This record gives sequence, structure tokens and C-alpha cells, in this order.
Amino acid sequence: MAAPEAVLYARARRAYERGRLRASLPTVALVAPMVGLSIVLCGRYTASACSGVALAAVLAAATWRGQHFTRGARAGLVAGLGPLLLPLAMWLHVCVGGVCLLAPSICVAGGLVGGAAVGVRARGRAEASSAGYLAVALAVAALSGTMGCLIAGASGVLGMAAGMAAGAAPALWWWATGSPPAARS
Amino acid sequence: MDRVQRDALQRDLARLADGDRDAFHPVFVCLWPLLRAFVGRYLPPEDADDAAQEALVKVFARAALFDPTRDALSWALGIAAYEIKTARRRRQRRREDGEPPVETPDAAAGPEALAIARQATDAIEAVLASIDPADAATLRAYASCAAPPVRGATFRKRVQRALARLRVAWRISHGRS
Repeated sequence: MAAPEAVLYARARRAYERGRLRASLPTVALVAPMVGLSIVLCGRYTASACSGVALAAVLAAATWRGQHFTRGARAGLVAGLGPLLLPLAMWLHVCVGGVCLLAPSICVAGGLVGGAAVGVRARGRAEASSAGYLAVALAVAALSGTMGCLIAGASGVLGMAAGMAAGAAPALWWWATGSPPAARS
Repeated sequence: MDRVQRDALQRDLARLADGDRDAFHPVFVCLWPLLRAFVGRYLPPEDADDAAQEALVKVFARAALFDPTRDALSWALGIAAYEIKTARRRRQRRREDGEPPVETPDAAAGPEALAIARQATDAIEAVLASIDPADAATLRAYASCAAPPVRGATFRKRVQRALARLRVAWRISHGRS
């Protein structure tokens, strides 16, 4: 490759990487309403903001990297909706004005649903055998869920994490034992 | 560019859009001579190389947004066509400002690039022959930068419509939607 062509090659490569980073911005922007909702309903500013920053970083890295990392991030966002919204919905409808004793159990249930959602989505995908896919999907789902479960404090977050681990156990088992998932794609 | 190369470009650009960095090199090797030849057909040599480089960089900058259901070659040539338009506007502005034209060494394309460009030109000519002669004349006038026979806005509208019909004819003759 001639010298000017090598320079052009490097320039094109940098443009490609910058373009991927730019393309990840719409996905990262989804974090803003989640953080806003978490701050408004949970009132734990620092914890919500920290979870939001961590989630944005994981989403940006995964969508920039592409392939099964991106698909894992999308799966995690969908799976994280359960643990994010269930506790917040309970707060809105049942526990207005008081301490919500139901919230920790709802967090466990939300985590279970989120983990199961990751497992169900992973079961239909060939890339579920990749550690990257499962790690990103679970990290994104857990960070999304954390923002919802902050409403119940540390016990809610821990309950959600335990529920998610239980829900995702079959997917983790497939990955650990290397048994092939029933792949659709 | 033959069907096999075109399919390979489609496959590699789809992989690149998905984030597979291994597809970067084959896409670069395929597109660079093609874009250089394509841009070289429509711009003077002193502007062609810069515009071709800009077009290539923009293709890669937007590669993450490429929709694999679209035709990769048409997509890349569309970006190059926009770059040609921008370079022409820049050239026009330089002339209006009285700036001397930029002097650059002769950057003539190699025989392979010329052959690719010839094939591309033949394909475009074939499609131009299949559309309405008035549309073909409008597009030729636009490509040659000749003074438009009608008002600027009318001419732009005609070019826009002719380009839309050319795209349809291209899709029909090249079998991609």
C-alpha cells in the first residue's frame, strides 16, 4: 500500500470508529429518561445518576463494538424494562405517600422477569454462546433495573440482582456447559 | 464491477455495519479505486483526488448506519455523487471569489480504475438510454455543468425528478430494490 494510501486507510479507519461512536448516541440517549424517572420517583439523586452513567458507558461501549455486544445491549434494555418499571409502577399506584413494603418483593419479581427475558431471548440466538452477549445483556438489564429498584433501597437492588441471577440461570447454564441453544439465527 | 464483486461488497459492507472490523480491509480495497474512478469522471483532476478521499472517508463514517437491505454500491456512489456536487460548489465559489484554482500534481487513475470507471459509465449510459430522452438530456446537462436552459429552481426540480426515474430504471435493470 503506497504511503498516501496508507494515510487514507488510517483516516478512513478513524472515521469508521468515530461513526460507530456517533451511531451509538441514540441508544445511549435512552438512559436520560430512565435516570429522570428514577430521580423523580426514588429521590436518590447520586445513586440514580451513578447507575445512569454506568449504564450509558456500558451501552456506548457495547453499541460501538457492535456484533453480539450490540445485540446483547438491546436484549438487556428490553429485559431491564421489567425491573425498572414494575417497582416504579407499584410506587405510583399502591404506595403513594408511605413506605412501600411491597417494593422489595416487586424488585425480586422484576429481576426474575428481566433475567428470564434475557434467557428467553438468548435461547433463540446463536450468539448466546458468546460470553460478551450474555455479560452485556445482564449488565444492561441489571443497571436499568437498579434505577427502578432504588425506590426500595439497597435491599431492593440486591433482591432484583438475586431475582435476575435466578431468572438468567438457565442461560448461564447453557453458556457454562456449552450446550447449544435451540438457535433460530 | 461484476456481479461477484458487487455481492462481495454488499456482504462486506453489511458485516462492517454490524461492527465486524475484519470487513474493513476488503471494503476499502474494493471501494477506493471505484470511487476514485467515479469521481474522476465528473471532476477535473486537481479536485478529483481530494473529493474521492472525502467521499471514501464519509462512506466509512456512515458505514455503521448502512442498511443491509439497500444496495451497497448505489449507497456508496450516492455519497460520492453528493461529494462531487459539494466539490463543484466549492469550485464555483472559488471562481466567484477570484481565487486562483488549486494546483495539484496530475492524479490520473490507473488502468484498473479506468476500466472500472468505463464499466460504470457504460452501465449508466445504458440506463440513461432506457429512460425518457428529456430526463436523460436534463441529467447530461447537469453532469456537464452546462448552463441550464430554464430557471435554476425549475432545472433543479427537473434534475430531482429525472434522478428519481433514473434510480427506478437502475433498480429494474440491476435487479435490486
